[in-house]
Amino acid sequence: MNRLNDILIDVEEAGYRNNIVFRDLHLIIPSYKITVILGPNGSGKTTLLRMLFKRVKYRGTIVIDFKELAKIRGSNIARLLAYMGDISLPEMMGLKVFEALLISRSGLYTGLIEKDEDIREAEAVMAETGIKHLADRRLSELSSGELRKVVLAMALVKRPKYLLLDEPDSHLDILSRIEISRLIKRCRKNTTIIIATHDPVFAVNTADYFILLRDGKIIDKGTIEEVIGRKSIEKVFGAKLKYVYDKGKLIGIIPIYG
Amino acid sequence: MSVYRLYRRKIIVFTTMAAVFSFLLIVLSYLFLHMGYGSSKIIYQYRLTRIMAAILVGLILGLTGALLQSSLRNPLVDHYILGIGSGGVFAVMLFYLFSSNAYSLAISTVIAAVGGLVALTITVMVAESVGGGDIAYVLAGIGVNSMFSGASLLLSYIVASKNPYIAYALVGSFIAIDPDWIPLLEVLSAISFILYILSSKPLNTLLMGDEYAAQQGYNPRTTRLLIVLFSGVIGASVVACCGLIGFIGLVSPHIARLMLGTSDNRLVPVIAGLTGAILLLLSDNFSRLVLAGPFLVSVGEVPAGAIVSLFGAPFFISIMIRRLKGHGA
Repeated sequence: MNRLNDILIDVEEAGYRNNIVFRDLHLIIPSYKITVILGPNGSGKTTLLRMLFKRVKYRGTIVIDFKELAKIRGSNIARLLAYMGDISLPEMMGLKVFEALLISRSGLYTGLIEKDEDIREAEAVMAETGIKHLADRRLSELSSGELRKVVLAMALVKRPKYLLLDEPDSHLDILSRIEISRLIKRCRKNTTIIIATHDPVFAVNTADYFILLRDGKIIDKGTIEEVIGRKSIEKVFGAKLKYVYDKGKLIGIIPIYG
Repeated sequence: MSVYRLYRRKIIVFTTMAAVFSFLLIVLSYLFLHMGYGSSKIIYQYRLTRIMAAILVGLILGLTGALLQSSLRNPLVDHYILGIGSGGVFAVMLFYLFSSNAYSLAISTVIAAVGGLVALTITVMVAESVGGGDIAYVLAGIGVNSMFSGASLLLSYIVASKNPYIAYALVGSFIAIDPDWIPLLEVLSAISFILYILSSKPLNTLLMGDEYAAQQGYNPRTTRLLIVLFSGVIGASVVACCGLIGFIGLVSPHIARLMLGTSDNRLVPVIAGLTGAILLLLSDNFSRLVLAGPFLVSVGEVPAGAIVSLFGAPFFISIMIRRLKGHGA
């Protein structure tokens, strides 16, 4: 594992037509680690993720997979990374889970019909994420927890080098969050994972590296011990927090109301 | 896994069906080309021409309807609902009004395409200005449709002195079809087929949202714009040939999705095309053989477009009710 696969962001300005979200953003996202972009709503987390697959205009340099992002063609971006946020499918145009997985690999094969390799990968990912029993179900029929797992599987089935997950924990109950966190941690070996979330509990239980964002500015970055030591999570959310430790290991964060 | 085998088998069965259908179409085309004006005029000029026109128009409308629905992620639209067809009819009427060269097929096709494009642009602009939801497209389309239909009806009274068959353009009929249309319709079918081949993979990713399509390497806006533009223009072009036939493009993709049990765009458009061809041929035959035939009290030939509306409109209403109640198909 070398550092050549780190993502380097050196951007003067980035954002949308009438809304510059980032100014002077300089960042290195370490490879083969789980990095969490943590911040309140509207801090620019999703924009940062979208920037990595050319969905946000920027002035400056972004290096991904040792190449300048601007010079990577769309088809190569499809092979390189997977982004998963919310997917919404019109009910009447429902797809089944295994079809969605095969479609997720459609950027990887030429021609209209998938190869045996694509089917093997889809099967393997369904087994890895524990969704084999859902293969023949329509996406629109799944519960939030099931859908999140399927969405993760749709990202993994591409076997991407970089996995970008936008709030993979949203609308989930506690058990489903734990399961998703476990699944993500299992993928860390061969993949650089970047997660955007506003839930510090999910973040501390999943991530290796933290980037704390507020109003388009990086407040802090580092390991969990480093950011807690500097009280950065409190600064980002503007709230008092209590840290819960079990045998010296941080297991939870509780916001103090009132 | 059995699910995949079933899926593969389904692909093979429907691809075979499409191949058989294409083969029959080629045989018909061969017969058509070889018979020429020299042979039986009734069979060549009336029967075969009409059968082929109904099949080809149905194919084009079904296929482009499926592409329109998938690219807009809206199961309630087709070239009729979006007002594209009415725009085409209006442009053709206008052309007839000002031109003495009223029977030039290629020119009237281009004119219809331009009219359709104008109508489509208005519909999209109006719908997007109010959020671009499913119902916004339907309502904007109804408005544009009514506007162009009304104007066309008005013009039809004036143009009728030049072309007595022009009133058929308002409902869609194959009564006045000319054999010269067939090669043009075949070219349009081939273009729609190429469009289907090129767009089926990007459309599958668009189904799951713009961000999803973008990370699969497609620019969602450009992809959607190109597919809507081409399918709209092709759908509008056929209006110059047989007038405004609604609902085929709406109903066929739904039937295709129901038969296939999936929305996979590698399968749906082509099966929707086949369904459209069969539905339109049946409608036209019903008008020609049953309504004008010796079996019932003969009412004479009713335009195929009217028969299609008889089953298409209730189907549309039922989809809309299900959609608004939040139930899937």
